[in-house]
Amino acid sequence: MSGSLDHSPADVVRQLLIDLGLGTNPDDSGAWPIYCSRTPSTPDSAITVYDTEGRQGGRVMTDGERQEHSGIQIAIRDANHVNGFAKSRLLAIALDKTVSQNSVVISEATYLVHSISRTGDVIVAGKNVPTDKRNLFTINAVVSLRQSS
Amino acid sequence: MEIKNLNRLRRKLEHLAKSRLESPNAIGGESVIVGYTANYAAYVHENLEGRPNPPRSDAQRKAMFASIRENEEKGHTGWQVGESKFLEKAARRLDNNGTLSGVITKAMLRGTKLQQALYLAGLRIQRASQKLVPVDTGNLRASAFTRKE
Repeated sequence: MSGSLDHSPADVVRQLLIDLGLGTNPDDSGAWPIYCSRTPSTPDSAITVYDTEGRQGGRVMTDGERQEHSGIQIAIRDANHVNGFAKSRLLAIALDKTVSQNSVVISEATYLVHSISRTGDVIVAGKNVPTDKRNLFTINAVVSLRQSS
Repeated sequence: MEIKNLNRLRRKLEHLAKSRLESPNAIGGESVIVGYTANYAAYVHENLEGRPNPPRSDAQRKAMFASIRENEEKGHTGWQVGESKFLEKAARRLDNNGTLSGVITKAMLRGTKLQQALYLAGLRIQRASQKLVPVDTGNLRASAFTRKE
């Protein structure tokens, strides 16, 4: 991936997950709302996509374009450990199997997501103690995408 | 196309590999682990939203500020430093800028065994990570380790 982007990779992946039916738009008040960059305190079951540090590749010799993989983290929160883990695994497998050259439209911009590569398995990050005791799971990945229009 | 003396070349490469490994049977199995043993390390590492437990009541808030004042009197300013992804960021930065491959290459050229070279790279990651890790009591930072596997 390289070039200018109107939206952050986390924003694009969030929209992609909604398009794939793995969660819902928070405005629709459905199950498993997917947020970007911040998680509101309610509901218990929520998914948030964050931007993290990516991987740098080499530069293309002819035009100097740098090949990059942007880092993302998908954080899954749920009151129940079993449900949270099951949802996390579902998301992880969906990233592996269904994301390939997907087009994502956000407002006026169109992106082509070439692939999302997990950098590891689902991480069980523990409970939010001593406050609400909700469980946190994370999936870290790098994404290769490009803005096509 | 014909490749001559392929077996000789294979034997040469095997001999070279064995001379750089701790154990002759360790091909593909030598590695080094860098991590933190504190049981809340994963939660802090994966939580991208700053302080994970914001005070929920006036009593909690008072207790938190009392704790901060107490630590301030000791000259402690730990809550001002640190960030999430403290291990992953350190490893990726050193990988992206070629430091890790430089450390390993330099050590191997000196005739060091592969695992020792990896260990030196691991220690470099640990050092970079301990500069990023959030410090409150210092327990998390002190729990960093690098070990040969």
